[in-house]
Amino acid sequence: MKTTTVISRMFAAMAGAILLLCVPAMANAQSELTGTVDSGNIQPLPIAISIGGTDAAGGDMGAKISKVVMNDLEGSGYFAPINPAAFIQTNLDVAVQPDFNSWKTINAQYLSNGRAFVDADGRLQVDFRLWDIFSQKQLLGQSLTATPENWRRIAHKIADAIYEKLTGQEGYFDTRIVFVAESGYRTARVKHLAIMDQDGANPSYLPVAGNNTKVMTPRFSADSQEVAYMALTADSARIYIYNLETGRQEAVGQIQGMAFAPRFSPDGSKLAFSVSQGGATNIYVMDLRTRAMTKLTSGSAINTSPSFSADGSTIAFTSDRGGSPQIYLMNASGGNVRRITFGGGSYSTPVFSPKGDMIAFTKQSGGRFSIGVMDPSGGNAKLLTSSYLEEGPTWAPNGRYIMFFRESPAGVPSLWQVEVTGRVERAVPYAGGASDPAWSPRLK
Amino acid sequence: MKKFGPSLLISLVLHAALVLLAFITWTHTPKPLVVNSVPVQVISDMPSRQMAEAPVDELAVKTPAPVPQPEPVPPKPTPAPPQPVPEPIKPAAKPTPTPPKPTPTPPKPTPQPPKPTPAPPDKNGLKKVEPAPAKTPPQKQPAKPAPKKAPEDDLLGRLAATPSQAPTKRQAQASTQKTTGQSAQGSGPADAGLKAEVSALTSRLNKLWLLNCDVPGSDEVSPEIRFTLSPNGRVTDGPTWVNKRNDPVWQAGANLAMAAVNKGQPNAFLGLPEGLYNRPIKITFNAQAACRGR
Repeated sequence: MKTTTVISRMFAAMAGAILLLCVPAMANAQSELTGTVDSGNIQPLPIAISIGGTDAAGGDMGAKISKVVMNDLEGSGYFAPINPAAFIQTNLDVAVQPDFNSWKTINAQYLSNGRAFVDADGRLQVDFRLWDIFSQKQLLGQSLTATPENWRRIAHKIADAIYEKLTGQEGYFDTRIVFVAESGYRTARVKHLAIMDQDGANPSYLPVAGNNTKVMTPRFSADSQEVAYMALTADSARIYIYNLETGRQEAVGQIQGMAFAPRFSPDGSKLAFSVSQGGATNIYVMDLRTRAMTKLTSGSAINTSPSFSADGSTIAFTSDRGGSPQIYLMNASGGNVRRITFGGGSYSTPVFSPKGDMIAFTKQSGGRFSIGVMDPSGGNAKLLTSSYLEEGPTWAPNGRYIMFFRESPAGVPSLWQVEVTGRVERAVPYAGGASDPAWSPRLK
Repeated sequence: MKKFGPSLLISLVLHAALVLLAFITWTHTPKPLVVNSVPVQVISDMPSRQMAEAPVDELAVKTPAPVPQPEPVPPKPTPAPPQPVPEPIKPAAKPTPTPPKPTPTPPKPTPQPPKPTPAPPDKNGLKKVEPAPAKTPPQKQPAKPAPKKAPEDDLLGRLAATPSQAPTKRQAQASTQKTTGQSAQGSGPADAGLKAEVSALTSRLNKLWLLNCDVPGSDEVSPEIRFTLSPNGRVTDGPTWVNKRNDPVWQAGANLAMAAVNKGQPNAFLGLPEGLYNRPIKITFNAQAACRGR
């Protein structure tokens, strides 16, 4: 064996030994440590909203928009808007990155800044951005325009965008509520059909057919352009469909008996409702194109409050066929009726959530009323609220909030909103009596 | 027959008029309300290149307090990364009575300081204000137990509500939170001793992590966030979401987890066990465990 070969083998062996010795150390230096954080601060997210700018008259449009956005986000229960009085950095330029330290100091985790102005065409434009303060990154940047009188809709759309980005859920702020505006003494209530923004702003009456008509159970169509309602007069109870775009309204056929509790199918092609005739109340469905009616239930029981499932295949309804009002399901074409509530007390006004994953209901038990939710099969029933009198649940389009009306012993009804966990509840402002709310889909 | 006087006639006329008025009534017919759809347009994301340069993030660009250099070295004109010269000491190292002598070759691999190259513009074209580089300048004097805190650091420290800002090395402590059995695990047998050390980090992140368990689906996310810490409490790499999903709820959850990591720097990450610095750390933010019992 040559000497050079021996030496080269020795070097190779030494190199191998060194490598073996070094590998563990190298691995230790570069290996990844892993761990788990399994608790945190469960609380609303602190967010600062700072939109500046003016309208054509020099009014403080930015501050007005900020206020609406803050109110929306706070009302969701997921956010804790920071009082603008605490802001260190003011007059932010939407074209300049904010001073993140100023916002860290006031403990903001997110910042939305923007600017409102009226463009050359007289339209209101709002540019806004959403920032993650601690990563110092922009999460959103949008520009919205509308006619100046629709500034609140811009604010709601900004709130929707922020809500969606930071929760991953669909927003629901740019929506409306139709409801029954009530006035007068309890024994002689005047009931108007009314509409307002979901936050109680811009309330107005919708003129209905006939004089001295009492309006009940208004319901939105899926495209939010039509409202079906029951018009009760001294000698009739009919269902009308009101087109919000044109103001046109028409009665739904000539129905023998008292028709009430209308509800559109998800695709808007059908209308389900109850007809009370000869002591019995049954559910019908009408094809709105052909006006053909189909009777879905029969018998002498009271069957009412129909509500379509999200896919339109099933109808939930209230029936006292078992001795007390309970909630049942049936096929949308009738048949296959099955009861899904069995608890004590009575259950009524079932409403499928927009996604079809829950049913909201009213429960009466022990002299009190509650709004609750349960699985479509009737399981996991959970009461969210309780009071002297409350009913009429309606879902926000994202299926996370329920609006209903609550009446005090004094007899003044008011609208309330509760999150489906029951943790966030708030009154919907309206300067009068309000009942029977129906939440619109998101506006276009 | 008695004739009707004019006053009686006038009275009759007035009464008749009143009766007529009662029939006519002032019926209030409100104007039909046409609720038109409102064209609110989301035009686009604003082109960020229109944005001006960001104000200086004083905290992020704050340079460490000047310390005497061991040897006068001519300053380099370019911000090129420093040469990997051995560091005579490491922050938070064990205090020694005498300063260690710089040697040409370090006795063991020392943490590599991050390159202080300017951060590239982000995808929006914005100048990104990076955290202060985790640079540890060579020091002449003996090692200090912990770097001196700047006033800004104190402020942030209070905000972050870190459990400890003690200048001495923090002893590893176990989390009092429930765990899922995988908490604070080292990556191998060699890391078995680091289990408690990782717990020291996760217990601090517990306090920084904001989450809302009521958002549907948010209690099921468990984003894995990878990052590297420097001894001065800065995040030198990441935070990066490892187990990415195309799900908005997961994305929102991951943002909150990364915000917790970003929020902690620098003070919440000071004084951690040495073994946590300058090596990749992957933390799972387990919302299911955090939201349990809600």
